[in-house]
Amino acid sequence: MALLELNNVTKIFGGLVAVDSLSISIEKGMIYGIIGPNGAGKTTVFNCITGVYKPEKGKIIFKGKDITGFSSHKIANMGITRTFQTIRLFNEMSVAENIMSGRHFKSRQKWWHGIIHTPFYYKDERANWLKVKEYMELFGLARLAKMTAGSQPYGVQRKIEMARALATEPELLILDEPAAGLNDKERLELVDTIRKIRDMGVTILLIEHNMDLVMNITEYISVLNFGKKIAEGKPEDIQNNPVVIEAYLGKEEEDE
Amino acid sequence: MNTKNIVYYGIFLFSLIILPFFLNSDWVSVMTTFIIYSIVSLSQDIVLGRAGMFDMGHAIFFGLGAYSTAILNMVYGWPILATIPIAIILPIVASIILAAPIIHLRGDYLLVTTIGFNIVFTQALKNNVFGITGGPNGIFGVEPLKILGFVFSSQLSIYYLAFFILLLTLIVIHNLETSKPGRALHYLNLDSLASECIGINTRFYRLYSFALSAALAGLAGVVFTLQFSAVSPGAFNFIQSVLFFTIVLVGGPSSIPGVLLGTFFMFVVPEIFRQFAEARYLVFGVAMILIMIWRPKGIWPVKFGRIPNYLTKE
Repeated sequence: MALLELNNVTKIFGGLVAVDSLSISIEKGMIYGIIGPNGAGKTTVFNCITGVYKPEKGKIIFKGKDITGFSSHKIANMGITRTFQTIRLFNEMSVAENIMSGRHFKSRQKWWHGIIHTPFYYKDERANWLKVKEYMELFGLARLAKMTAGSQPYGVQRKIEMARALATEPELLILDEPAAGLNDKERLELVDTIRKIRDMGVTILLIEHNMDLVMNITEYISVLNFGKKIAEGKPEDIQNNPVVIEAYLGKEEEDE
Repeated sequence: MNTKNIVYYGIFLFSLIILPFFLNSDWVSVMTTFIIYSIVSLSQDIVLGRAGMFDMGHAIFFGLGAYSTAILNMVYGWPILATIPIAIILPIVASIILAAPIIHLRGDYLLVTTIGFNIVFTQALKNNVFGITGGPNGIFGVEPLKILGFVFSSQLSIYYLAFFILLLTLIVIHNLETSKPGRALHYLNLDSLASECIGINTRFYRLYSFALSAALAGLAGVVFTLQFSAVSPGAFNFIQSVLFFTIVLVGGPSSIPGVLLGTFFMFVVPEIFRQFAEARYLVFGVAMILIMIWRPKGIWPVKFGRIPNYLTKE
């Protein structure tokens, strides 16, 4: 059984069909890529999966359970977390506090622990901060723990956002253009990090414009254009697919 | 809390304890009012500063607490001690009922809605609803609090009672800001979508902040009733809510020392300059404008990075 399955998912904005009966199936443990020209509806797909938008038609099935129309926090708590195309960190807070936000659901503190601190609180708090430390070390952020997240360079912010998403211990991690704005060195690091995350047993779904990265890292790709899936397959097949080349570069005019 | 903070809070609390010995009873009364309004401002800060919701009707919860005690005591003859739980629970229930339908509104819309609630609330009090609120004049002659035979009738005893409630409030807020629910409020304030997407039920925590702040404001209301032995609609009108709102923004949202300083400037400093009569308010208005221009994050802005030491040490 696939980990995540989209069955004929359709999302319409006004008169525009942003996603047109899209069906994809993501197996556990894989790195899955979604590519397509600008405005193809890739981010809309992500927003449908994570509950930001509710699709008009179709079903989204995660681990055999229909999650269509669930609220975002519920979906996150079931094991799907994401990063954003434009980084969304809690800018004024420290790096450690940002990553701690990912521990929100895993932390077993109840509402009254915000009023009275019980011995359980101290145990839970310590356990979760130590987890945060682990994730900071994994991403090489440990020395920045107390620094303000918003004042970090772009590449570091991307790492913080990934660490935060990973701190929720997701089964499926969705990365929305993780390489956007990174330099070559940072991009290489990113490839390593994504592989490392996959090796931890996390399935990865990503959107990316950088073709080198996509071809290098993903195991299976779906290509979207105008909200429709126009091709799918292994990276090497996609690279040579004429339909895909046409979508990206336009049709060659034949000389008369 | 680091050592520096412990020292600061120690000095602050210790000065409040010894202060009455150096002041005459008029000034003790001013300081009692300062403490009561500090509690309300700190509670307003939970909603406005931490959760970032523009609640401009906070006087409702303060007033509900005050009126609960006054009405239950004067109309139904309850002893003051027995009215305290009601004066906490009623504002909680009211805050949840009022906030639940409007909690999803964006800043400015929420602001206007809460102003509306506040106006309805004061009008209801003025019009003597159910014949128990005493109309425009309010309720006079509320009994003092009695606990185990001790009567809180002197100004000094009420001062220390208020001080005790302030201490309680500070402990609650400290516990809040170092816990999962407290952090959740900051997260949803700074980025609601990102918070949802990492699994925070933002709706629940928004209501939570309203309920907790209403409880504290209600408790402050009890002390208010005891301080003046009376309640009247004017003390809980929209202008009062504006004042609490301003205190938090001028002092420093989410910053305990900032809010305390803000309250001090709004309530104690005007008393000190009483001789200048109305002119002091002019200075005040100008000071508020300048603070917002030069220090948009408040006089004493909040510092994040409240993380345990073992995270930064090897």
